[in-house]
Amino acid sequence: MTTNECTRIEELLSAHQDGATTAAEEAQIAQHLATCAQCQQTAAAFGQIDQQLRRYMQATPVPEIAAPWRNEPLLVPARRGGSLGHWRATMIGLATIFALLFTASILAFRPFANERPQQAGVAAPTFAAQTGGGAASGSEAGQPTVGAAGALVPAAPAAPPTQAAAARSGAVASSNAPASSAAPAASSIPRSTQVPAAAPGAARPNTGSGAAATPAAGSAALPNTINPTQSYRLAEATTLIICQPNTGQCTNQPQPTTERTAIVAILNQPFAVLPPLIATGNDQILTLTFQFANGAQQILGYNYQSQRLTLAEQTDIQAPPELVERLAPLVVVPKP
Amino acid sequence: MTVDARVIAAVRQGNAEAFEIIVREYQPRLYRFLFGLIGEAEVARDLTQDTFLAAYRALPETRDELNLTGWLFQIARNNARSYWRRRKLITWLPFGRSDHDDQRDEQWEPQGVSGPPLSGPEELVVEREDLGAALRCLQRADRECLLLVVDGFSYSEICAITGLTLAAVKGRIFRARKELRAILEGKDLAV
Repeated sequence: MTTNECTRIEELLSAHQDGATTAAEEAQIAQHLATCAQCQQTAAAFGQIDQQLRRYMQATPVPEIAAPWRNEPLLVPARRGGSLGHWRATMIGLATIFALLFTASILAFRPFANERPQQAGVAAPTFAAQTGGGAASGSEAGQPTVGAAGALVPAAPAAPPTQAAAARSGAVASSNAPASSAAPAASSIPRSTQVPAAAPGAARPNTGSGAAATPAAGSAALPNTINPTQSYRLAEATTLIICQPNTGQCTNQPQPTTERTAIVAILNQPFAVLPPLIATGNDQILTLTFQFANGAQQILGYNYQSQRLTLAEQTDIQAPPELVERLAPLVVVPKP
Repeated sequence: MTVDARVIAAVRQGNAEAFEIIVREYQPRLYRFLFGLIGEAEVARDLTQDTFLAAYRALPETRDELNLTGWLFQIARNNARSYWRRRKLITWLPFGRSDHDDQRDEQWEPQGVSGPPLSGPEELVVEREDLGAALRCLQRADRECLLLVVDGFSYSEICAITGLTLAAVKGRIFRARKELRAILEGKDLAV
């Protein structure tokens, strides 16, 4: 009998003692033990060792132990879901992390919301020019906005943050939607996607972003001059409605073509861009709504008290005398 | 439903007294297992106590299909290993001697091979001392497997408790028996 064979059989003997051998292994063991006295001794020794160990374990006296758990309440979880409970906790943790990251990203980009151009094709008709602007003067998303003359102007329902911010800033918004019959509302010029939303200069927000409230900061990025007719393609307009919404006397009747053509001609020259004014809260605004054949419109705000024309956000010009003269008969001065 | 399952269910429902049943049932086995591993009564007692305390805190959160016996022995084994690691930190070791989980805790110094042959209770005492000392000469992982199989655990249960493979468990038990036999018979270790 070879030593290697005995070594292999010894290992099988150990497993055999624990009932962990297969039938084939049992046969090998029986066959080997029949002729190998050394492995017979090993089998007997292994059995004796186990008996000694069991005696050793059983003879070991067991002392009393303290029971510190008796001083602790048994904490039973409110809901037991087995392994699912661990998954639930993990998913809740991940969801919380993502929610925090999402909120942080929204807050991080919010200061720039007012400076983003209004998106074309989004129904955000708002002309909030009454008071100090910012969050204090405008409407919240989904709520109507009180326009310059007190007319209700529908605001975009559940507008995205950028649109809501533009509405709160008192902007002249651009839109491809047809003009509302109730009030001059959103406007859109043919290249409206490039035109930022604007607020009448007299109703310039004095809160919110520093760029809008600080003339120096705002004027730094502005062009020196602007030609309203060319910039907004006013000559292509088919209709002009001049209205003073907060008087309640808006008829929304289009101006004669000759009058529209004359005003477009007056605005067809370069004007110096003025730094925006701080809103006073008593500004009276006349709106000049240019409507285009494709349903788009562009609204200009005219503050007859300061004789300023607001073309877009942070784009005010001084109204030329010819325009002041033409608009003067349309102004309704509210009674004190 | 087995007794264990009923007791576990009671504990999970907040019945702290049911846990005392578990303690009474398993304290002797756990203590003797730990004593076999460590060889020191005080330490084995403390580790037994720690094992039940950990089980008391964790049992309400365990899965429904818990194997209570294996789970308790797994905690006890982990406690023993933690004890060895702590002891490693506070024990000065001479150069050239490594200390890891497979370390032998003692060198073989048989108690009963010298002097006249004993008989009666004295012989049993010497045999016990020799066996305890021989156990501590085994590698720790071998010792764990051997004590578990002598306690009646199957190989697959030992795999679950120790995290070893079936082949490793089989090999360690065989090696433990072979070494123990060699030690007790006064043979040279050929491992």
